[in-house]
Amino acid sequence: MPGILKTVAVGVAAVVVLGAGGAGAYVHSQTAAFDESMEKVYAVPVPAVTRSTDPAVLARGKHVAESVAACAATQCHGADFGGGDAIDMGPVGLLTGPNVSEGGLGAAYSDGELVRLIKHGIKKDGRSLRFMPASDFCWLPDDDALAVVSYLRSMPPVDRPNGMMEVKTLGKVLDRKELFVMDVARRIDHEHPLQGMPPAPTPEYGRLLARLCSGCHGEHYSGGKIPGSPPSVPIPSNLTPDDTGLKSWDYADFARLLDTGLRKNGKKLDPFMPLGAVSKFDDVERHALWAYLKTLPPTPVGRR
Amino acid sequence: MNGERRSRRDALRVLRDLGGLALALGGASACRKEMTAFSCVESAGLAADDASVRATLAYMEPAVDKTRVCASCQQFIAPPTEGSCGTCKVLKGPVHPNGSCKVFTAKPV
Repeated sequence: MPGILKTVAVGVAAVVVLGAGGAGAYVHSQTAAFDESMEKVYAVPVPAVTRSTDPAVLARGKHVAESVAACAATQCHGADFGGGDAIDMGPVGLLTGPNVSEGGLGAAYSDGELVRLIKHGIKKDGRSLRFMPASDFCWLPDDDALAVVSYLRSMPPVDRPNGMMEVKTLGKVLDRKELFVMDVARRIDHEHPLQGMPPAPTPEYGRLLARLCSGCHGEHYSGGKIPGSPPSVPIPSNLTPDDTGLKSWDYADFARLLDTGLRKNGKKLDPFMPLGAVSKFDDVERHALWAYLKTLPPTPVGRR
Repeated sequence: MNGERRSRRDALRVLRDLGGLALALGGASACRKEMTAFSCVESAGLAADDASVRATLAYMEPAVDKTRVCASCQQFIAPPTEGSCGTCKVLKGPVHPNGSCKVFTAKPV
């Protein structure tokens, strides 16, 4: 090999080795930071609460659990709270909502600990939840959080084993890069917990409801591929009033989508979208969500 | 000739004695293993609510399903030294590595 070629080959090899070493060190530092953060014990006191058996409260709890908080969605804890379907996010993680009925983890939690979990994303042992989007519904008023707990407690125990819950290396790195929420409690202001307003068909209330959509559709609601997701996970749509989004839609189109899962173009939504939860949004919630989406700046698809 | 037979007999006797010694040592070892076995079912001293949670979640040891033991569970906190009880992020009280309960969540392999 001529001398110049040999020098180039050695140089390229050195760059590749150094690059791989640097990437490895970076991944290691990010996963270590994630693991350390997940070990943090949050000093958030357990609230003193009293569950209700009032049918009106239970009905409110059922509605919140099945719609705006989506706890009872099949991708979360399931309609009977006995555990949800596994979400296979490939290298990001394998995520399965556990059995939180009285036949599962629910039995280990006090009512106050469950309210704290909903409002702060903190487990019984004071550490953060993984993946459960409490940061998207921590705004629920205390009454609604307690209504959900009261409804959960009114449900029969379910004897079903927990599925796998694994945050993989890419999931940890994406969490630290603020591209995916795994470390939930880190995203919540525990000093100044949010208190949502009473339901109203306003953009302000819709802004709170929309937080639940942001995990998939992105913080700017412009959709695009979820970082790190495998091809089996569909690409979320653009919810902003852009040409690539909902610009040509009106409320009737939006309501039909929620009711039937059919887009304006007649195509059916992918079952990954939790239609079971959004179809249960009531009229006030639908109008609020639509009103908020119309206020978003038009953003080309994929800006997340 | 006689001396040769005696020495063979002596050698066989030594082998027999060694075998007996090996069996005795093996037995002693098994006994020692038995003696160091431990239990974590004791929940005295726990608050009534915490003891009730252990019962509701059917904590037991050893596990009936050997593929779902506490040592393979994400909730298990291993003891600092082997051969003693660990703890759990969900249940209060001591927990045996070979125990199990209803909220088993497998550790990633």
